[in-house]
Amino acid sequence: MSGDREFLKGNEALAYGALHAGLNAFYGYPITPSSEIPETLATEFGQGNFPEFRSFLQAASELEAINMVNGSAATGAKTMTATSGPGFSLKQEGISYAAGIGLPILVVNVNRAGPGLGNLGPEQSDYFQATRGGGHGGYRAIVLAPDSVQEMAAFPSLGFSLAFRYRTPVVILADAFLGQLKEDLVFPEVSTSSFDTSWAATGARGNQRHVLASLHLELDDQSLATHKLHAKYAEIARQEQRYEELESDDARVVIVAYGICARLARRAVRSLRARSVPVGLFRPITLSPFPNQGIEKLIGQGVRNFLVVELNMGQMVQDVRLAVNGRAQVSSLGQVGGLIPGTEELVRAAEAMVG
Amino acid sequence: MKAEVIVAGHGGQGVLELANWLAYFHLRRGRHVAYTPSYGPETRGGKVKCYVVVSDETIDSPIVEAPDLLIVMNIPSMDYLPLLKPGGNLLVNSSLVKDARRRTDVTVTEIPAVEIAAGLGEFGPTKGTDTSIAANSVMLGAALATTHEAPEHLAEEVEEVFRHFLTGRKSAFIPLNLHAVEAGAAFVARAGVLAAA
Repeated sequence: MSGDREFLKGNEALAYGALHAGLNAFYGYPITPSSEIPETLATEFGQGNFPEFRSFLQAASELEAINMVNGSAATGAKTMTATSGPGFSLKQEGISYAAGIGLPILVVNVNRAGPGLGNLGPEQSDYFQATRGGGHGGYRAIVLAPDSVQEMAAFPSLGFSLAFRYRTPVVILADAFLGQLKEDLVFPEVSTSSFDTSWAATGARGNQRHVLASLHLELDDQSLATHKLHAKYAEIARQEQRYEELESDDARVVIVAYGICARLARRAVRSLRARSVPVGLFRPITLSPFPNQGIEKLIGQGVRNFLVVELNMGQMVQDVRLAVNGRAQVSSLGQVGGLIPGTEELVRAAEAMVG
Repeated sequence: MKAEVIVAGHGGQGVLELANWLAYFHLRRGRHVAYTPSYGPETRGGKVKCYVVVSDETIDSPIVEAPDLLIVMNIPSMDYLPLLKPGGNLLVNSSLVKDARRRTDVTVTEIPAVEIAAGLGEFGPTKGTDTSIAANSVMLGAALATTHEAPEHLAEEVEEVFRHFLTGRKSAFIPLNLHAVEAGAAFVARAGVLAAA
């Protein structure tokens, strides 16, 4: 289907994007609003359209699923799971182990409203959990934030390449809106080059023995392992910051937004620009590492006002404040409960900052 | 070309299908499309609302706040009327909604979609089928005609749309739905002539 224009839900596009990226294995436990991901993969499994897709299992729980993911990834297989808030919480222990061991796993979280059971509407309230490393121990995952069905299709490939390059968990943090949204898209050509799996435990007789563990009983050993892990995170932060800008060159106010909020912000920016109000958009594509380099560039350009728009009570705004470090005014506009702010709300808030 | 549409009705009226078909019709014409289903239980009788945005340009936001076209399938969906842009088009399923002419700054077209569909009996896949289920396709035809998107070869174009969605056993319903689309488009064309005269 590569090359043709498709019309798919974000969740379906993500599933096919993973298959095009050479997905070997999927283990999960369905939860709305992410369930079309395992549904789509279950439909394709065994059909022969994607011969590299060799293992699919609906686990008995999220705990089981994430540990299956880790076992599979330990063999060097491209392995993914998908969930939403409550399931993402349950998977945190396994993600911590994957970070400690250095397993290249891909975890999709289609963020719904919370905390607790919440509801099925879109939120971005799992930002902290995803970007800070939601499990125990001092780790971080790479977090990618798509803002369209096209990117839902493209990011599994990017996710796997980053996961294998750095041997680290990668999270695709979408939201319920993007999961259910249907748009036209084209599946990108994916390079079929295979990743380095020389570290993997393949179990073949006669191969060099690879011990994949996160247990370091000697204090010095754990200290060394953690320092190595964080040297890796520093390298990731230098190399992998991704962002997109719209109309930011001469902007006096820059809206910072990701996911579905970035789409709202695009409309607000165009509406303001139509009235010659100098407002731009800064869209983080990697939420972790946060694209400080982009904020730094905007500060250098003289931007002194940032408006952070999120579907939570203000989480990414903290990262923007850290990046800005007192050199600009940072305001927060949040909406929760599955509700979406209106364009007029963004327009008014941005215009008020232009002064 | 850019159009923002809200389609609203209740579960069982084929609102989600109608919105999907409308979006895919435009996708096949080379446009960008975005379709957002309403949240909540998509069961018979529940409230259903969809956004459809079609555009030659990349779509900024898929959320429709002020539609150019509002398709109303039942009485509660008239609640969305205040959102319709001045000068916009309201298409009403007048089989259920009798008092649609509540705004003078928009064009209101009343389509007895259920009656029109019910009258297509001979195209039912089996004898005795209640063809009123194709009321959503009548509204699709009306929508395409209203927005001047009814091409010369409407049937062929729409057939491709139906072939994409109505596969397997559902393909038996393609002829009925095609005739429903044509009937909807023809009704609007006649209404247009009457209005002009």
